[in-house]
Amino acid sequence: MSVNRLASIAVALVAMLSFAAGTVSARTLDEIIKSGTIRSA
Amino acid sequence: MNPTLPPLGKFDEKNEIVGFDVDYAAEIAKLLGVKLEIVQVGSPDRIPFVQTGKIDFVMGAMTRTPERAKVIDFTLPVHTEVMGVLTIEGKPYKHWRDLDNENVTLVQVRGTTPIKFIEDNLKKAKVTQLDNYPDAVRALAQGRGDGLIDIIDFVGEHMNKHQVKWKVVEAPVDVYYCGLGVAKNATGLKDWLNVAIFDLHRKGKVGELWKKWFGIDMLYPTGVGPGF
Repeated sequence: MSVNRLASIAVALVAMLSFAAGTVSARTLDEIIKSGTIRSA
Repeated sequence: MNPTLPPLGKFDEKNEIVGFDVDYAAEIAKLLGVKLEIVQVGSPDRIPFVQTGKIDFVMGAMTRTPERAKVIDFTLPVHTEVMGVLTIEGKPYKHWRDLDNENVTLVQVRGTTPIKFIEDNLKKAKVTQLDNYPDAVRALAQGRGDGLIDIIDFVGEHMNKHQVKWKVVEAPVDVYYCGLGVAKNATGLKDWLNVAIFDLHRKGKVGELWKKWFGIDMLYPTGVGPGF
């Protein structure tokens, strides 16, 4: 397994754990506009 | 963006992700008046990323399915993908079921989803399995097979390398509608994206980008109307 793949899995795990803990949430349209950046994948 | 789904996303010679999805997302950002940040994802992590707000929307051939719609919301379709039969002009097939014949040889890419479909539904046809799409399309162009069943859009760039008159059998196996995935209840963002998607369809931008990256017109344009 490549280093990139491992890093990707780690980030996904952190994201899922953060979501479960309620520490992060999706941004509103207003927050996206104010930040000046939209993030896409 | 998923760089393993060319031409939706792939690495260029500078190791940057380019492709249809990148260009389309850039158009979205332009309409919103913000900068675009590209985030690399793989298939397993893309939905958790959008659920947790690490990204605002996800592309990468996100087919709208009832199962996925339980965990994320979808916008209007941006594009389709057609699972169908690629053959050469002059072949008599009008429906994919016409290939269920012992005189038919399909050229397929080893290990891909359509192999199972053929085993289940076209039991009489012979199958020649090759290692990759360029080889499979070349074999078809050289007359070493009668048809190829796959997502036809993704073989467009290989079709254009051969001087033969291609034909896509009229009745597709299936048509998948792909939208942008957003977090559940991100209603304001989803509503805005739907207006932006309609605008990009209306201006012909989607078709233009599709032709640029896929080398062929979208086989089943989504045809979004103003009254969505």
